[in-house]
Amino acid sequence: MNKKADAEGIGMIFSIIFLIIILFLFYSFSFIDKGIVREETSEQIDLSNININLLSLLRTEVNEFTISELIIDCYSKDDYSKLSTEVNNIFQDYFDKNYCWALIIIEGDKVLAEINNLCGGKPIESIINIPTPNTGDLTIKLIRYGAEKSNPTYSRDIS
Amino acid sequence: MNKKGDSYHLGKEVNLWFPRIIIMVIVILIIFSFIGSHIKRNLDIDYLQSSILTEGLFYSPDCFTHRDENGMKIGVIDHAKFKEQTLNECIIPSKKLTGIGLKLTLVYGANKEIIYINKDAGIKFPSFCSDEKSFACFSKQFYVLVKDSSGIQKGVLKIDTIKSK
Repeated sequence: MNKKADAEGIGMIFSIIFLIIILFLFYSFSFIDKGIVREETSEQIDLSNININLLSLLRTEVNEFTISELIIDCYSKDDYSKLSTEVNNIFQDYFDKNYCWALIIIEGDKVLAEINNLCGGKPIESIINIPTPNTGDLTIKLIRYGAEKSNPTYSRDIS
Repeated sequence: MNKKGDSYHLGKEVNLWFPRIIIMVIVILIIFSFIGSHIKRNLDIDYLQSSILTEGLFYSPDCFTHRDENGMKIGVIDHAKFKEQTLNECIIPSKKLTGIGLKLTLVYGANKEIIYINKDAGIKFPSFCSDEKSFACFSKQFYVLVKDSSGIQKGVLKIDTIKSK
């Protein structure tokens, strides 16, 4: 009879331990969650803002061509120097100077051009596909790096 | 006979509790991690509200975005629509924007125009922003194209938001 009571007593102890573990896990998870979620939310909002910048950039007219037409022209000539000059000028004069901006042109898995892609830090990317006269689409990525830059000469070490 | 049975019962109980706890802990961990990855608990409401208003200005057909026969051109500002009266009514009437104000600064060519949405609050930017306990301030800068009578020009639109907490 005593042994049976002991077994019930041990059962009670384990129940209490079990309850403590649940409470501890609940507290731990609610504590860990706090930081992560907030960052994700603001990132989604920022991405929407960068989309507007990319749309405006592609519609910008330079010497009677829009930037999107210039991209196709550079793609057919396989020379992105003119595009690079024009985009760099726009970045410099009109884009938010608190961030680093880069434009990348990709075809399939191949990176065709990287314009001003010199910064480090956490990137947020806005992506648009442009159809080419030849095969598939060109993927145009406008990337905003979180690192602030203080002068026009960028450095990879900025974090 | 009874004592022997009781000892057996005690041993059996103890042995059963260890796997019970381990399995339950694993199950709880899985449930918590699933819930934790799906529930967004900590929204920065001030930033979210400021962003919704900013997005509304760009995406609402009644605000400043240029519209032609092909539809809305997001990122192209119609200068004729960039007026204080239009922007104060296009998303929600500014009278209903209690405690939140926006300052829009449009710079293109040699022009600089400043417009306030809910001017009583918007005019407090940036002088009241140092009081972080009472006000939340956010600034966003966009590269835009501005369409006026002379054509389309490159420009910058800065949207500053001030919100009383």
